[in-house]
Amino acid sequence: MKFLQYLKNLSKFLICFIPPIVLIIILIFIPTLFTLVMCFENYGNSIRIILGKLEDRNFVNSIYNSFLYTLCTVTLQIILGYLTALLMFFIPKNRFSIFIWIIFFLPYAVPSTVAVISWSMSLREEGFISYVLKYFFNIDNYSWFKEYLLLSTIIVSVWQFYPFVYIGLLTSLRKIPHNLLRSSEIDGARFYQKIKYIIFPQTKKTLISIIVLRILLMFTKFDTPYLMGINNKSNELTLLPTYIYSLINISGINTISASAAMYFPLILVMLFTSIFILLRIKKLVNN
Amino acid sequence: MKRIFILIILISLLFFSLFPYGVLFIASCSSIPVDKGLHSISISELTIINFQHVFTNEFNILLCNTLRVSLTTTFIIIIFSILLSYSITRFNFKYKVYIEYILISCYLIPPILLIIPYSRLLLAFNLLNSLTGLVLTNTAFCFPVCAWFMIRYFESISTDLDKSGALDGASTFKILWNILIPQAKTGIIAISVLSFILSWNDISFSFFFSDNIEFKTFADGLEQFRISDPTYTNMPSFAASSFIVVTIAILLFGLLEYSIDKKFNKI
Repeated sequence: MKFLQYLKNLSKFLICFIPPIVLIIILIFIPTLFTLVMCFENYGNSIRIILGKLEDRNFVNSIYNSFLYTLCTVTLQIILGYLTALLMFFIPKNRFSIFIWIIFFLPYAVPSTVAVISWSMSLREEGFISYVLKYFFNIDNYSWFKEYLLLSTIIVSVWQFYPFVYIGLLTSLRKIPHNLLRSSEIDGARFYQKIKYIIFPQTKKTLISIIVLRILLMFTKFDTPYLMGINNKSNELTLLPTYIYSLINISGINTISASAAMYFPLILVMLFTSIFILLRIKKLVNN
Repeated sequence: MKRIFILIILISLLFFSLFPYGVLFIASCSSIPVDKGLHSISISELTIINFQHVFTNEFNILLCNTLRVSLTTTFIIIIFSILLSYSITRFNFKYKVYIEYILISCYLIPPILLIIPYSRLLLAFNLLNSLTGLVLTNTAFCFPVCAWFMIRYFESISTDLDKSGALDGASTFKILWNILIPQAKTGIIAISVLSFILSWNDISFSFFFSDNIEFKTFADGLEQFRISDPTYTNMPSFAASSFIVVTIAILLFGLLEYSIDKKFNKI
């Protein structure tokens, strides 16, 4: 009887578990494995090319730019996202709340191409931002888009992705029991004390998860930096994904294994970092 | 004083969010080329004529393709994420914690590195230059993160509810359908929006796997037009079509949020 019950439970588990796992294996595992095999199948050649690439200034620049881009975009996204979530949490609900929610969420709904077109129009020499800077601060018209491409890309990426942080944190903020905040008010807690002792500890887990995800996503971001650089002659913006794409585009399949191999150590580092942070989250959950 | 400070921050953030959308709107309403900057356009030069030229055959195809790919991807992701989350959070088995790590690591893999294996996989099944191919690649890209979030949502639902359902004689799937899914409705809607946006905004897969405009999505199609026009001569018509696509997405999200608001009365 117990065995039959066990079999029944097992079949239910397998019905739920097998389809998504098959999806992961076919669509993610096999292609990843294929990429890894590709990294190492011609390893001697890959190593030789990588060693050659280390002397390539563009490759070293691309790594530096990728780290800088990730650091700046994630930090600014977290600051803006947290601020927006707090504002939406504390502002009393009214008939305009839904419109404000949509406006804050808007950048995330905009495709990268549209975001790049729109910002590049504003950041050009004749663009609106140059005009405003000239009008108010007497700064000469300047093509921010061409001369400071990395800075422009950081601005566009922050604008595009801070709603991700905002939505995640707002969901977490809405889960905080009202009793906690109310009792702190009765005890005479000030605004910053509520944030420090109640809101921040309650949203810490979500915040860490979001930071990990944002770091991983921004580090491997391809479309926005690529689109920002595509009609621009400046060589300033070479991030690792766009550099690998340029290698694939220029040299074809032989260099793909080398470029994959170049990416692989970085993937490992990020993998260990993410597992470490996930373990920390688990520890926090258990505590 | 505190209220004024909050109001200033709110207005600044609203302006930051809306600014490019406003730029897009002005550009799409301009009757002259936008080379000299949008600030030089006077109100009398604004027109809606660019919107009349948007609905060309190509734009309709791109929009229809994007909608089909995004909606199908979202549907597949939601079904599979619910199944995976349910099996992970409600059944005990060895190494289940590692599945979360696997999901995160899958999402970490840059799409650029998967292009060659995907192109071979799609070629093998004759799915290059097809919307099914785009749905599959988008599903592969969005599924890990959506499933990860869904697991978080399912974890937050108390198991006592399942137990009381089971005591009342409900089967496993009845518990899933009648207890867990209604409880996780907010999460499901949030994840639907997330996966819809990820596939709606995707440019890479359409860029690499579709040569034909018949099988391209809007973001990639627009990019092809932009590359062919680096001097922005046709900017007003680009801006008008972009404005329409963004507005459709916003209306959809507004509708979703409104439905959440009605259901949960939380905003």
